[in-house]
Amino acid sequence: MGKNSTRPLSPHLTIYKPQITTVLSITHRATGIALYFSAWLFAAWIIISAYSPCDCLNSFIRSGVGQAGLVLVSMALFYHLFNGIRHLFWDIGKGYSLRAVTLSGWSVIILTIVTTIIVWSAMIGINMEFITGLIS
Amino acid sequence: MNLKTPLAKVKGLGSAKEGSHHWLMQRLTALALIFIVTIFVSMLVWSGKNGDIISMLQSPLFAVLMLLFITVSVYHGSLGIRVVIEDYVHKNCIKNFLIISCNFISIVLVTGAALSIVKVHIDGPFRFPKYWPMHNESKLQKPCHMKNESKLQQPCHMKEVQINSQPVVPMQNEGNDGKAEQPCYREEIKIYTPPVSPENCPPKK
Repeated sequence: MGKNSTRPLSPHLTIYKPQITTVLSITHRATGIALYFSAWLFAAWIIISAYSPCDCLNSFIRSGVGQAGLVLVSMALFYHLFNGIRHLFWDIGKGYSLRAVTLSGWSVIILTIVTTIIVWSAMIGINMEFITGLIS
Repeated sequence: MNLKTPLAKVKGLGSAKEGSHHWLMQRLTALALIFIVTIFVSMLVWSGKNGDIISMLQSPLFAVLMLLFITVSVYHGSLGIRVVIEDYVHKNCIKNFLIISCNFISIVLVTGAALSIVKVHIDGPFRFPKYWPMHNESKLQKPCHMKNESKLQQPCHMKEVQINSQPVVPMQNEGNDGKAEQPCYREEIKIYTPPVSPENCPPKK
């Protein structure tokens, strides 16, 4: 009767084959949560950069750990963006057939990787001048 | 007719009858965020040569974009995190506490970020003031009866001793480089003068 029943449950996550639908859906939720806390950190960075004379935060971001974190966060942003567009198409009513779901799912993954590579190679191409020339 | 029992009415059981606004705002902010994020990211990448974000905030387009991004994305995220918390947390006290605290923290952070964006757009980032630390004694006005006296008064028995004063940042061509007369003020303000006058000096041995 209570919620503390000790009766066993049948297995669910351990036996079900991961599929494109489920994996993309849980990744959408996970990236959403990660992006929410990253937005908090972004707001905190804005406040600190505007009001504090200390440069320590920017030097941490320019370091390897900071850049890796930024790459991961931007990858989460692009994935959430593209999968969100896929969700909006479902909200209109389009794209529910199995073929459409599979196609759009794989295109979301490919688009995420491609966009991350493009954006970050552009940033690195620009940032090299920062790192070598503009330290002041 | 209402089929709820009185106990159900008191406990607030049954459908909440509201929540479609949440659904709609989630989709609307998502639609807005598609545009905001694409323009924001492309501006970051293409204008990255101009410098860091702080210097890019001088352009009003970028400042507006930044403000929109931080507010709309945190609003969208608050709606989303509410759904996630309601999915995974079932005890009412913890659930309500988590939702309310997430909303409060995000409102505080967004207010601070908005203030900072406006401040940087109007006034630029933090700059060291010209005199750091802030007080430079030579720029202060002296009272009229102390115009010709230096600021530090030594007691009589230490007149030959050099007092190591703190290094004051020298004024660089401020137009008042010591040769012109410094203006003075009438002595309405009570200032502390150390109790040393020639009458109180002990006689020289």
